[in-house]
Amino acid sequence: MAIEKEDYVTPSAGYLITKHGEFNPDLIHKTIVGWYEKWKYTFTEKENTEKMKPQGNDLNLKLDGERKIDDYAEFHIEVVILVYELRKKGTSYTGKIKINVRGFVLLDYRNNWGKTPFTTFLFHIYNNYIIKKRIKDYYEDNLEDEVKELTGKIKNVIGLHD
Amino acid sequence: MTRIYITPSAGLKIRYQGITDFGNLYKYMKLWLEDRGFADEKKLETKYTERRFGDRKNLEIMWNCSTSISNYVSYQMQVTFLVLGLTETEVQIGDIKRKLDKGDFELRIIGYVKVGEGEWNDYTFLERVYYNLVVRKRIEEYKQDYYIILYKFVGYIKEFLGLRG
Repeated sequence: MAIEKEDYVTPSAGYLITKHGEFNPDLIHKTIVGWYEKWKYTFTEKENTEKMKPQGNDLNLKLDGERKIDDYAEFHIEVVILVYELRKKGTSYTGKIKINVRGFVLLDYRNNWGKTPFTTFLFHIYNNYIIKKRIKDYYEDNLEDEVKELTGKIKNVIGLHD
Repeated sequence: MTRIYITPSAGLKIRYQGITDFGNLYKYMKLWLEDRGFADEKKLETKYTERRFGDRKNLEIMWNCSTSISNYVSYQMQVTFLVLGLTETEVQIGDIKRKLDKGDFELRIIGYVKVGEGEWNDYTFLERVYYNLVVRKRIEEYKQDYYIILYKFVGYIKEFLGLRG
């Protein structure tokens, strides 16, 4: 498969973690932000929504982290957290949670290539033949490890097996 | 002129559906921006629309604010409020009954560092040299500085609304 500008290491729709039961959304948020900081990702909270409903609150959080690796590649890890029917139960919460994690390597993040059809062609050749090994063995492998570590931490925090 | 976005270009979205004191939120946000030199009372608000539907109302408010760092660089922020179905409601807090606002509150915050004025083609030779040799190197520092300020503001709003994170 050809390497595109956004080179995914997860399924492009993301890696899904689901749980119905007890969890603490504050702790999940804190864990993810802490993880981004530990790995020196620039963190953006794209969306933070809370809806108060009689059956329990709905939450929608979109977190995005990006980290420059070199002049050519940037790692992106996006986490979307959807919570339904969140109710407080003692010190913890119960509800339904869906967490989606997407990771991709953004190549040529400065957009130096791809301005004309010819440079787009060169970009394709460069990625798929000249630095293919570097992309596969270095960028993808490292990002995959980081995504796995993050998903592991999230699963741990919500009490799932890792 | 170059815009270097700190947020996604569509902005950061903070949405809260429930009960809050919107009057105070509006006031405290304004004061926060004024205290940090982002806004002055007269120029801040560019739009305030209220539409009434029976006892409910919708609000659309836009703020444009900025603070100059040097003659060449400024931090810009656009805040958009979209409030739907705003009604007054009485809430019992301890022994007191308070009138609060119930509705769907959505805020969008766009932040960017503005470098230079006018178009690149209008720049003189010296301005181009200054941009390439001096400003370009400092952009990362400006971005980091503004990022911290902007996220403090976002944190302040989230804390007021009782949002997570």
